[in-house]
Amino acid sequence: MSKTIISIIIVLISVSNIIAQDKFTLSGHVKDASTGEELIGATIYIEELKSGGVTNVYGFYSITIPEGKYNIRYSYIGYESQKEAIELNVNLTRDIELKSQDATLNEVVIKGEADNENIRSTDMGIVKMDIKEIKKIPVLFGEQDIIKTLTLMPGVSSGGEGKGGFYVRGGNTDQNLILLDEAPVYNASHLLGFFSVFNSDAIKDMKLYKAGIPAKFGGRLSSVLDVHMKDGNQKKFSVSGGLGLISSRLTIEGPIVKDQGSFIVSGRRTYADILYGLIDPDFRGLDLFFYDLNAKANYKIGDRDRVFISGYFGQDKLGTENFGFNWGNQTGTLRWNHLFNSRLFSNTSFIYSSYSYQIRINQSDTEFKITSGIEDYHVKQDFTFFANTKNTLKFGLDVIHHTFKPGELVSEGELSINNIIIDKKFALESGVYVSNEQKLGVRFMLDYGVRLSMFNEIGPGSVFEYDQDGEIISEEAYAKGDLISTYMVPEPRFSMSYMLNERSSLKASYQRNAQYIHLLSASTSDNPTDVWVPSSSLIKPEKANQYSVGYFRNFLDNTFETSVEVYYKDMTDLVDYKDGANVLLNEHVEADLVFGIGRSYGMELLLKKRLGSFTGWVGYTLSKTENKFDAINDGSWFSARQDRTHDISVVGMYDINKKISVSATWIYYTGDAVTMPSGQYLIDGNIVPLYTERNGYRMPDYHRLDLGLTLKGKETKKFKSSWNFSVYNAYAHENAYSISFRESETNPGTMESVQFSLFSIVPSVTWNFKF
Amino acid sequence: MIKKHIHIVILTIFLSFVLASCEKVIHLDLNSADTRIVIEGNITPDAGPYEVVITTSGDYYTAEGIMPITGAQVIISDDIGNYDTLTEKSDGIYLTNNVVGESDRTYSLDVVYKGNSFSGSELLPVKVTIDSLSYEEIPKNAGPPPEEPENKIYNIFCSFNDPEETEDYYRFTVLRNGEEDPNRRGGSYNVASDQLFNGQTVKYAIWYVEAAPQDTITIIMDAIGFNTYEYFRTLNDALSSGGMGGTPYNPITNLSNDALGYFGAYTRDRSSIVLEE
Repeated sequence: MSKTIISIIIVLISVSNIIAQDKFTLSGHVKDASTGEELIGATIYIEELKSGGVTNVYGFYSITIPEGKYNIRYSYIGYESQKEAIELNVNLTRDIELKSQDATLNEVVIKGEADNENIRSTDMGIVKMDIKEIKKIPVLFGEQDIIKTLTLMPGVSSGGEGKGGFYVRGGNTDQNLILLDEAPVYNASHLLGFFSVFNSDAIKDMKLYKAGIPAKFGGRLSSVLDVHMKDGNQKKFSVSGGLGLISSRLTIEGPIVKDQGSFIVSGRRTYADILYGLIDPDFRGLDLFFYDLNAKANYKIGDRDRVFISGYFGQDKLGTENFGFNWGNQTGTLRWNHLFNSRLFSNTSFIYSSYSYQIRINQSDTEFKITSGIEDYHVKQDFTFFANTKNTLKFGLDVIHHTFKPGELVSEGELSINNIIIDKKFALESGVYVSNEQKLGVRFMLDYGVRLSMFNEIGPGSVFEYDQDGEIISEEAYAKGDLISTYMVPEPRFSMSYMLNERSSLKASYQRNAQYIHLLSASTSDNPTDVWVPSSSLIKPEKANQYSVGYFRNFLDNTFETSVEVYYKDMTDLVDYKDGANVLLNEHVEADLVFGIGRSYGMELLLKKRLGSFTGWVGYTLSKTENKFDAINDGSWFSARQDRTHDISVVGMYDINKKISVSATWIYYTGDAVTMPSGQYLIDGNIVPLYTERNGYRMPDYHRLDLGLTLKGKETKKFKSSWNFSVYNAYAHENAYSISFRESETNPGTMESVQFSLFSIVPSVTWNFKF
Repeated sequence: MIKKHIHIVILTIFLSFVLASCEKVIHLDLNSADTRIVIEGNITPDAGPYEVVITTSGDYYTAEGIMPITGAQVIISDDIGNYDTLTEKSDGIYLTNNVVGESDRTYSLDVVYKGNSFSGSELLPVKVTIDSLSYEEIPKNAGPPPEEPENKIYNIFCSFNDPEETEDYYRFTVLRNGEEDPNRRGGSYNVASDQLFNGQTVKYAIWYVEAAPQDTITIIMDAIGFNTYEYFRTLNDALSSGGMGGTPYNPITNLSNDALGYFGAYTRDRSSIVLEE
């Protein structure tokens, strides 16, 4: 496999040398002028050619064009555009620094120059969000949260209040690949999903792919959320932070050597436990908090090389003297950017990621401990070859070594019980890919490629065969390093856009994805104790095909962006627990699984105003998501829990003046599909509910309004501060968290349904500072 | 068991600190499922007669439609050819005439009603006896608060020898001064498999029993068949489901033909202890 790749590279480079004879390359980085942070996705537009490029995730761009004089415009949303006149007769390097519109102290709001990148590119089914925008949107307890904000976009819906996770186009929460500096984050929720693990102070950029997933990503069915940490201020040392009602944040960043390297360390911690300890001594010694720590450093070695090292550590801790429950992720990424020449960009990454949880129970002088988790080592090599203005070629390969720790229980003390240690499982997940972004004329743009992914479950391990009742029929043991099972899936990816004119375009995409690791969840909400399991001889890889088409149109000089996208997705080999499965510490969990298929289709509308003092969007999704499992619902189609017929979000942000800005969001969605009783009977004097069809009922529809107000304090060159006030659920709507049943007190002998809601109105305040 | 509680524990801790949560009775239309047959029967080595109760299911809110099934043919048989045709004592309640349970025998229940037959079988396990009971008082704030302020919270320990060569399953019932605590029963059945303690001298903890000093606590320990264990384990889920756990489902039954309920087998031992001041 690797030989083929090397020969492809050699051919490409030699071909490019032939083509390149009377052409020259303009390359470089685009950065923020005040911090030196590289800008991801900045546009480079050559006016003479009506064409250009965008910066990659390292802020690098490269354009190869014929010799000549050009006017080049560099632009990025929220920044002032910059024009450069260039005479290209040798290969040139231009590093460009763009000024943030916030940084201009001018009282007049500068109207950014809008471009129609959204019309021109093949990007569809992609959600990009500006971190500055995220910081304006009000959220619970004043904690800005990128995942919560993402769910305000069409096609992305929230897992629900207090349930964690998000659904993309009918996919389950475990079908999202969440990457933080390329490292997968296995559990992105804090505190049962009330917060995500992303501290927005440490985040530079994020992009969610609902469709048109590039061939370089693989491993999940529904989406990729690609999050990049800030690199740290290249220019000067700075400290920023915030004090909130339930948490505080602090970020320190600065140059290691000016314009050569920088670092950033950012942390946050909630402190409900400390506050309660102060108020009531009974609560002292109680754990109830989470923390996140992000750290990153980068350094340039010469003009051609740059290294980055970044890490994330986060943990939730809950507990009392007798009970403890911790869970968290650790990730680490070491990256090396290398420019072979101004047209061949390479990145090599070594990635570590782990997720684990521990439960401790102390009873009667005995300590019980349950632990479980997953650990990955990952090597990745990506190349980008900027062949010419018409073609950008990407190719690479990666290998992940997974260690699955399904769980163990050990105890010490008087009530000593048999320890249960379930064997670890090991697997290699690898992929090679090649893709090309190609312009055909001025109107057509194509992005096509293929990813070939492979999964090997490797020994040591045992393979069991089960009969229908879950009884073991046979067992086969494999030694260390033996191949237990192998799967290979070709995953074609294709997207295209056709510009009807400067303001509108038609786009289409197709993608096939495979998912080799599966999150088993016995609960209808994301739980820290959910277990990842590998594909095996019994568990097949999940596969999905997605087809989508869209129409994009901008109005009023690109001030308004609108789009309509429709999609159809089919999914096979979905995994779920059997009814009544033993989920904790079950060595034979595979015998407790059922397999099925799914389909999802829908339409997404988006109207967005990007520019001006009033910005925001309206998103609407109409969709249907169904599953079919032989063992569930008599084998007929049923609504998936995440089937949300209607999902509406309205987001508005208004800068009243330089000092005051207000924001509001309103969301509405169809209640989750749930299973409710359709009858009752008596067993041993208990009223037992009778269930007939799976997910045959609906929770009440959910809706909520949030409001936010930001007041900027006096600003000096050295010190900036702001107050942020927000109100969650402003009209105090009692949204249903759960519905349960009990015997009526007023009418004994009959049952009544009881709705439980978490939040009424929740006001909060945060003070942010920067110096 | 542990897992089921984790989510609730965290949520309770979290909610009690940070959130103003609320509860209200709502109106929710539920479909009315077709009536299903419900069978509940047990066999033990204790002296008979044993009862098999047959009813129907009914409307969820009002229980309307729950009726005894009369005139069914009910037979309990063992794996060596003995059988007993039960006699209907009163509407829907059928009694055995001569069968007596024996450990290590598999028993079958066969019900024929209006041409439909329903059946299930279960292995009657060997008897396991309680060696001794002990208890500890839980300090205030280290466990749940008692319902009645004058009461205390205890952990009761039931010691017994688990047979090594078999997979064993247990059900524990706590009586306080001879009566079952109604609050406790509303929650769940205390069932356990020997996965955690196979072949050991076990000191099984029954946590958080509410009682007052001088009370007599009686522990009934049933060694139950696997199907009985599966039924009660999953019955617990059905009785506690309400949105927070997984997708609710009907308890796993050993009865055929879509019948609800179970046919169980158990051996029983009991022991008592007085809580000192």
